[in-house]
Amino acid sequence: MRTATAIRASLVLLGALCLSASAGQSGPPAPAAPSSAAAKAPPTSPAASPKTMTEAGRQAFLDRLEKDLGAIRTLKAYFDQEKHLSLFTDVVHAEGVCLFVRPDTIRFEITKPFQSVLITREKAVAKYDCIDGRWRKIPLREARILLMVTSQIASWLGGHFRDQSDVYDIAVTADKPHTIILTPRHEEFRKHITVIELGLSEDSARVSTATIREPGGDFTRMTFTREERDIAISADVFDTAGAAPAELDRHAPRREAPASPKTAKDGSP
Amino acid sequence: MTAWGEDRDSREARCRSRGAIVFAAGAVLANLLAHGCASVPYDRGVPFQDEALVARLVRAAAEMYPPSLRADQVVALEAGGRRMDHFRVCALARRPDDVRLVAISDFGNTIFDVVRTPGGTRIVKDCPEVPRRWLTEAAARDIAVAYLARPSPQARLVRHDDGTVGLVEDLRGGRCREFIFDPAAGRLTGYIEARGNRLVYRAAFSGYRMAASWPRQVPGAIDVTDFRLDYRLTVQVLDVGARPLDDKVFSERP
Repeated sequence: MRTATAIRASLVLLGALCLSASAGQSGPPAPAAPSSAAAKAPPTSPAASPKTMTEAGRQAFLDRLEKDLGAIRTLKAYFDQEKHLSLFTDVVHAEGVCLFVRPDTIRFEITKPFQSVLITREKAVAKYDCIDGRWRKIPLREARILLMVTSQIASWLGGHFRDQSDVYDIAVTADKPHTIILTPRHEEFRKHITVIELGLSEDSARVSTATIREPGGDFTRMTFTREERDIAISADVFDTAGAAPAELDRHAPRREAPASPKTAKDGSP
Repeated sequence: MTAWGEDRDSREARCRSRGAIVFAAGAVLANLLAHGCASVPYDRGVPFQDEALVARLVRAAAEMYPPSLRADQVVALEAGGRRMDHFRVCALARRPDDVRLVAISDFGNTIFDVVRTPGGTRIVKDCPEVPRRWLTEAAARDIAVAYLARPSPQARLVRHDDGTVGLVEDLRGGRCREFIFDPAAGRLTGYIEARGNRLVYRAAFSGYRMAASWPRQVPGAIDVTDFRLDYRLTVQVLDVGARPLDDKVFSERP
């Protein structure tokens, strides 16, 4: 049952990967030497068996990411989402923005071609959609699972990719720009998701893409742009009690960082 | 029949004992009594003759969408009185009755995948969180009603007190269906199915606007109520466009 819950949580998690993790600015990690004894490559990766880092190199790389990402207090990033369906000759597009405040406050918002907002903050979760110009709060049955998911996201945002090593095999491509490859361990999970790829920027300072691949060739790619770090973000945009989400435009982040995490308006430590 | 609000895990667990089955049957009956039999009266309207009007409305309905299309929409499902999460539905539809729909979450992952052809409905990818009965009986039907169902030239013309006119056709099993139009604009504003004097299904089309990928005004909103299955579906149409489709699309995996 626990496994089933974990799998279900992981399924919900999928796109949540898109809540852009990003590495710090302290410079790229040392490149690892490619090796034939590299960490296990994802068997279902669409790329032709990309060369991956050795175990030692991967651990060093993830150590560096963990250290750098751990320094980020707040994050805002816009994203373009492309869903590639094998049935369709073109892609399904969406746009949005995501906000993160350490340790576990997240807002994931679709802005085009429709409007939807998911907010998780500590133990509270709220989801809204806008139909006919009117925001509605959606009663959530799976709030517990969403919290599990966002907790997992938060740990990734903190660079703790290895926390889910019981759910995913982790590999990192040897060549730049590096890609973190997460392959679900559970067969049941792989029936839905074959692999998740987090593409890093050339300097490995941020995640620039997140790709979720499904059986049969369908995949979703999120491309992150206009990333801002350590900006002050109003607590209002993370309010989960309201009948409608606070508008982001009214609470545009300022370009100064909060004095300390404890002084962030959202009250998170 | 199962209650809409239960997820599949809980249903399976409940059915492990005979007592649970009896309990479930009671719940089903209660659900039927509380919801399944709910319906509203069917206004049959007043029959009248106007062959030119029939021809105009039939043509308007036929030209409303291309015969083979792709439609993109966001749908919100309320089943058994409980609002569920929304999902984006990408649909491929081809006259007379072929539908393929794929639902995706805000995060982009596929939630479910359903195919409907004259041979029946198949679930290519299932989703435990979505009421199974809606998936098997209603999801593709709703898409077919929205984009494929059209009145025949033999339909009977009726006039309603609110000024709308309808084209009525008999269906099997003592049922009938009616396509409702705003006669002045020549626009389809509703679709209903009735048994006797009671509505069993209703779809309202509103918010007409130009589609990005089809040079005609199409409904921006479709509001579906199924009184028999007890659900309501709110559809926000994002785009519609012509799309040649071959038979492979309506097989399970092209």
